[in-house]
This record gives sequence, structure tokens and C-alpha cells, in this order.
Amino acid sequence: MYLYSFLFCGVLCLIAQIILDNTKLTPGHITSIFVVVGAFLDVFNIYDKIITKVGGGALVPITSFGHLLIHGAMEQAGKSGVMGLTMGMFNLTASGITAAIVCSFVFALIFKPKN
Amino acid sequence: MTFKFKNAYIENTSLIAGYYEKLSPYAKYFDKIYEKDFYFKEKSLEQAETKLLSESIDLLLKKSKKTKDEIDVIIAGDLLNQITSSSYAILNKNIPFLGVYSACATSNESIIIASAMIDTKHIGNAICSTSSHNLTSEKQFRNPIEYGGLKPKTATFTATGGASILITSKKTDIKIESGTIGKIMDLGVKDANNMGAVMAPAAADTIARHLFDLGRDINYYDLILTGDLGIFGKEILKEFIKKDYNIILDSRYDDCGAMLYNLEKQKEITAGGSGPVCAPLINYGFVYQMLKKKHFKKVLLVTTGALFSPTFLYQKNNILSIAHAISLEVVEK
Amino acid sequence: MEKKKYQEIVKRHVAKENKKKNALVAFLIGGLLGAFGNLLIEFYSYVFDISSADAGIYMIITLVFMACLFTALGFFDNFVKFGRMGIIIPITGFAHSMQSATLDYKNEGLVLGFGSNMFKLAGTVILYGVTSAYFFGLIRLIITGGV
Repeated sequence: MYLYSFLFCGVLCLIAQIILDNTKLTPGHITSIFVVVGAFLDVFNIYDKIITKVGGGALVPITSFGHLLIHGAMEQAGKSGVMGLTMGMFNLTASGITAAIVCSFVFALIFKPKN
Repeated sequence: MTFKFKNAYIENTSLIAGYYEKLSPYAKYFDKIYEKDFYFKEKSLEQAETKLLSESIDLLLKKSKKTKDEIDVIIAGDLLNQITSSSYAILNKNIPFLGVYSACATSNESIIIASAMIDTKHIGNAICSTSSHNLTSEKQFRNPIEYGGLKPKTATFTATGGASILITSKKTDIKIESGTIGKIMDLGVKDANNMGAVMAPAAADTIARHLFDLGRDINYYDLILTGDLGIFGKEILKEFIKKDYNIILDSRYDDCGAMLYNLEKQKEITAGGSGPVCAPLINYGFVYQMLKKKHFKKVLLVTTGALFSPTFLYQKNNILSIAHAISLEVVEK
Repeated sequence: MEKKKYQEIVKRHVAKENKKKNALVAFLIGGLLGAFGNLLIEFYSYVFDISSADAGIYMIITLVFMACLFTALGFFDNFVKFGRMGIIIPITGFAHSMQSATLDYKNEGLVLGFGSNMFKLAGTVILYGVTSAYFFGLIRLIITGGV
């Protein structure tokens, strides 16, 4: 599992680096593309299968964010129909986003940018 | 548009620099260096930049043994939005203020305006100032300061410092001999990380027109310096000016951005320095002292600026450039 | 001179980025982060006796926390400059972008400074993540008529 985690995350970063160095796309563009890809891969439940096989390495990259968004949306859609898409969107990603917001806020109160 | 000035002389200069400039090969010509951090005991980075400009003016007054009341006008500009660094710095000086902006060409623009006003006897003297700060320009033009933004090697490094020069109608040993106002150029460069490529055409055009307007050859000058093209922009200029204007820039030519830092030791700086204060850090220090020692007799200083904003850039516009030139000469007694 | 000819001159005077080294470093650093994420999941599942799905959430929170803290302490930008996409693609990149954007605006107050700028860089990821998840979900619902 460790090896697969290493390889999966490593290869994703490798592809991203190659795109960055050879096109005019910025890191912002590339991460957005990867999120969309992650969401897309879960349309046919492919990302779930990747997670079972690869383990943590599939949850680390930003693609997992896209996966978690659509996964949460689909789960809720199963219970509440189409509206469930909007209701469940942030169910699984809530903790990641909340952690980022709270940490960013608290640390920014304490520290200041240097160089 | 080139003017020959009859009565504009340099009385004195002052230079304050920051942390990265400490290792500059020309650091011994700086009056003061803030070594520790980027805040200089101020609350915000923008206020730190304001302090640089303000202190350089105070230092210049002290060096020239003048009081604020003896100065007719201050002409200044910087990179911050609405040139707020200059405005807030000059607030307590109680001197009439003209704000100017041409990005990194601001220093020469201010000197040309001051010299013209002195020549027409509207004023007797003027202080021309500028400042830039690495972190405030990163924050305004590019990414957040702590963001590890990935930059290509052609990206230049905004210098941190404050620079002031006192121009006067009273005769001294160095005169401002002429000035050339540049035209805006656009050769299709959209890469904000390659400012050398953006600005080289403007430098070429201004140099060519300066020489043509005055009927001079490039060999008239002992030294020709451009402001902040960086090590790559410098080479682009040499090739471009030869091809388009048939002017050859030889060993008498260099670029302040390429000179400012010790590129061997300071590996994080890949292409050289930039910013409104980059050229003054070399021109008002090293070049001025060399002129006083008569090591150079006639120099041509060309400052280059990239005119754009993130808004216009994201709207898919090209980045424009402009270059203003001044020539300095030793006064023969 | 025409713009095209000028571009040719520009291209001749550009430093070569070390693409192979960049790719290798991104691969190694990204891979290490992936393996570290897996380690955290196994650690949390074992220590707190929770499912690996829950441990996955804890792992994400840990990485976010670390990225934010290190960014605020001031050295994470050096890691990013070294590891390049190896650090930006993992969730650490997202947290780093939010923390660094917020840090910049300390002096402009809690509302106009922090509030307006926290999502400056991360906003794009959230926008396209949510929008694509929504539309892909919609398409899937229409195709399969259910879940």
C-alpha cells in the first residue's frame, strides 16, 4: 500500500510538473484541472476503486477533493433525489475546508509574513 | 523628444537599501542598509516602504545641509497603487509635491521634469525620489508573500530601497546634460515573468532617438546603463538594437539590474534586480561617485519601465514598456 | 520589427529550466507526501480504532494543519519552491494558498483584510470542484436514473 501510495501521488505530481514546465498554464490552472478530473473519475466510481487499491496516497492529492465533493453529492442524491446534489456537496469535504479556514484565521492572527 | 539642459546640476544623492541589497558589489555606495528584516520597525510592509522613501529624503537634506524650506518641489513616484508610498512619505515634509509614475523608469522621468523646470527658471532646486520594496510589489502584482510561487529563471527581483537626488540651478561638478522622453512600446510580450523582454524595445528606441536627436554616436559616451533589463534582457537589447537600429553596445554598456546583486552568492535571484529603485541604487551611488572622481566623463542612463496592471494583463493585453534617458557630464572648470 | 521576429530574439536569450530535475523532484516529493498520508491513515486507524474512511478525514486535517502552520511560521514557501508541484498538488497546496493569502492582509483588519482575501487563490479550486461535481453528478443521475 505504501508503495502504491508513493507511486500514485508521485505520478500525479510528476504529470502536473510536466504540464507546468511545458505549457503556459499556471499552478492555479493545473490544480483546478486536477480537481475536475478527480470529480470526473468518480462519476463511474473509478476513484473509489483507486482508493481501495492505493490507500492514503489517493486521498492526499487535490484530485481527492474533487472526488469527495461528487461522492458526498451523489450519496445525498441517493437519499433525497436531485436536490441531494446541492445538499450533500460539502458533507465529506467539510472537515478539510473547515480546518483550512480555522487554521488560516488563527495562524494569521498570531504570525505575520516575513521572507 | 530630447532636451539639452543648460542649468541643471546634481548637488547630492542619498541611498537606503534593504536586506538583499546588502550583498551587492556596489553596497559601499549606499548610505544606509536595513539588514534585519523587511518591516524596519513599521507595522506593515507598505509603511516600511514609505519609511524608505521618507528617510532617503531626510538623509539627502542632511547631506546637502539644507532644510525642508529651502526645497522648491519634490517629484516622486513608486510602484504602489496610486503611488501611496510617495504621498505618505512626503506628507510631513511640507514641500510642494508632483507625483509621477512610469514604473521602473520613474527616477529618470522625475529628473527630466525637474531639470526642465529648473532650466525655465520656474524653480531653483528639486528633490527627485523613488522607492520600491520586494514584498509590497510581490503582494500587489503577483502572489501572496508567503506563497511559494514558482517563477521561471527570467523573473527579475524587485529591489528594496529608497533613493533621492537633489537637482539644483547652482553650478556643481556634475551636470544633467540632456534628457530624452520615451515613447510607449509594445512588441507583443505577455509574460510578466520576463520583464527584460518587455522593456528591451523601449530602451532601444529611446537610445536610438536620443542619439539621433543630438546628432551623436554611441561612442560619445564612456558608459551606458539601462535600468533593469536583467541579465537576459541585456542580451536581448544588444541583439535587438543592432538588428533594428544598427547600434552596437559594447563593453561600455551594462544594466543596473544585472549589476545590482551578487548573482554568484545570491542564487535565489536568477535574472537580476528590478523596481524603480534598482537603477538609482547604481546611478546615484556608484555612477555618481565615479563621475565625481572623473573616472567617467559622459554617461547615458536609460531607465526602463513596464506599464501594465494585473487587471489589464488578465484581460489578455500585452505588457507595454517605456524608457526615459538622461545624460550626465562632468563639468570642466 | 514585427512581433514575431522579436519573439524569436527573446527565445534565444532565455535560461533553460531544468525540466528533468523538476519532474524528478516533483515525483519524489509528491510520492513521499502520498506515502506519509498513508502512514497517517494507518496510524489513526490503529490508535483511535476508527475506520479507514474516518482516518482519511483525520489525515487530511493533519496535512492541512501542518501546511497552514508551516506557512505561517515562514518556511513553507521554501519547501514549495523546492518541491514544486510535489507540494502544490497534494492538499498541502490548497491549505498553503489559503494561509499565505490570509497572512498578507493582517493590517487591513478582520473583515476587509482577512475576510476579502482568504480565498484569493483557493477560490478557483473550490469553484471548479463544486461546479464540476454538480454537473457530473447531474449527468450521472440522468444517465443511470438513480445512484
